[in-house]
Amino acid sequence: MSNRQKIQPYWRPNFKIKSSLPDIKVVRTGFIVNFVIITFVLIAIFSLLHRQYYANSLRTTIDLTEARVRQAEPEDRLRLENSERFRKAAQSIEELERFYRAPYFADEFLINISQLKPEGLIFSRLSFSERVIEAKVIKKKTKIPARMTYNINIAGEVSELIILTEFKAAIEASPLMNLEGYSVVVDESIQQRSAETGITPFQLRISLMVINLEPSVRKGGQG
Amino acid sequence: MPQLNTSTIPYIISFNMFKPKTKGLFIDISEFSILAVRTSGYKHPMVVEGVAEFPMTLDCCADEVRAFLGQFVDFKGVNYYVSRCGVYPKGRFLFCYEAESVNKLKKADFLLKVLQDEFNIDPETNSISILDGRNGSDFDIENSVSKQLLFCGAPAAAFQEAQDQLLSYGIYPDRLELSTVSTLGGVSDYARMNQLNAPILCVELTSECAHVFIMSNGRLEVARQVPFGLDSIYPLLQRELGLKDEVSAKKLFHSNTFDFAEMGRKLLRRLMKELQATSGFFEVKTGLTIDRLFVGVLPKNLSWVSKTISDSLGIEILQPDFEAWLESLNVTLADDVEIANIGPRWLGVFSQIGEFQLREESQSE
Repeated sequence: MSNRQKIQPYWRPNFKIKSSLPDIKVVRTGFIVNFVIITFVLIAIFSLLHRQYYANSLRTTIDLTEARVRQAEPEDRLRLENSERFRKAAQSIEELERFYRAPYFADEFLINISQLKPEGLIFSRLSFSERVIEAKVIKKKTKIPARMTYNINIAGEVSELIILTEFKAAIEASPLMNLEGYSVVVDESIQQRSAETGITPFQLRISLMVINLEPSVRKGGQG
Repeated sequence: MPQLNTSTIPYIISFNMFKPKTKGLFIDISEFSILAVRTSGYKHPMVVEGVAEFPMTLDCCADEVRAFLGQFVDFKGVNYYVSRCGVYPKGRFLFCYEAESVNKLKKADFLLKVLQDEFNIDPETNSISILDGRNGSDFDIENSVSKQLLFCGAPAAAFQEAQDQLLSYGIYPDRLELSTVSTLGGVSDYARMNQLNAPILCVELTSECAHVFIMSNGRLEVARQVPFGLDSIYPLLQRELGLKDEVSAKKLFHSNTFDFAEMGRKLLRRLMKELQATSGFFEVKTGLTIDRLFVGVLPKNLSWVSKTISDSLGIEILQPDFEAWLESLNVTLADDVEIANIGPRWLGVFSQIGEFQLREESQSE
């Protein structure tokens, strides 16, 4: 079918002289070509100008930012120094906190010890104290670091000695005396029994010594 | 029968609205008249919607022609109307050539030499087309197996002049055809359709020259140019009627006021000698008898010329039945178009409408 359409009509050669015919297209080819070229050139110019403008904007922004950086540099350096000082101070404080960390609060201890107190036993004095054991070197090789020791002294009176023995056993069995990282020693001392009242004054000394500097529980506060 | 979905109708309507139908315009311009045919378009099948003639006078100007065409077709506000045109440029030629062998015709140099040596045609200054002598198709130098060729054309300057003339009328030639050749194609096709196997004598008589052709079995057998035309008649007419000059004779000749039937033989004596010589030679050579005459181009008021030739040679004038012929070419007439008695000269412009190769293909199938 397509071949048939290409065949020139028989007996009808065409002598048209195309080169000298006017362009009669509704939109002339020349116009289209010019339009396309002009559009392309305009797009290229616009694109170039846009890129230049963008590059200039970036350059201005960079200059401004650099100026701000230069301006803020001394202040920043000062803040960095402060920050470094603060970090060091915080580290020291943290170490001190860890060092001085009490095994429990005083009021908490009072409540617990009061609950353990049996009938026939009274407290006349309770005291807490803490002491730093200095670091020392054993045989020039092993270094024992400094550690804290907490002493609790309970003075009171008891009607029967058996009650004191039971109280001591209760204290030793209590969770209060089984703190992780501490070694606990409970000593008792009994004074002479009053002949008039039959009451025996006593004194219990509880020593808690840190055996591990890395506590498992942070409770804070000092005794 | 396919059902049309009604939802598509608006789209079809709007599509057609944006695609206005362009009417076809076929023009045949001779020195005597402009014959115009308006059709439904340029694609077959087509309908002839109108025919019109504009007589060319010596003093007619381009604006008058443009006004005539403006009434015939709608220019739609543009300067040019795209048309298919046939012209009769000065110096036009048509030669038959039969080579000894097909192989010789496959060399372009040989063809150029034939043109120059045998027909005295300069390929540099002339626009030339080579057709296959058997059917009028474009000659395919590589694949054709025909030994018979037709060389046709005209000086390039003459085609340029004709094209410029068309442009001045507001006609943009989509095709610029040599009417001499397309008319012969029409005669050939008409003869084939009507099985007119006997030779037909074709005469194209114009002011400066005459072309004489003999067609037989749809083929062009003889093509001869006679170096005088109507211009040679005016001195005779002047003498016969005692007119003061040739201009007066020419005016009288082209007017409708005088009956030349009686003195026709005297006026055409020179031409008749040439025609008798040509036809006689052909008949002796081939043993065939020419029994029909076709005279194109000449306007209606010169119809006595063909009558005179016909009577002198004793052959019948070919009066084409255009309606039947066009119908066979897939071209119909609109109801208000009447072409029964418009005369053989219209065969030229109708030949531009026909696609003769389609008949050839359908016959070969």
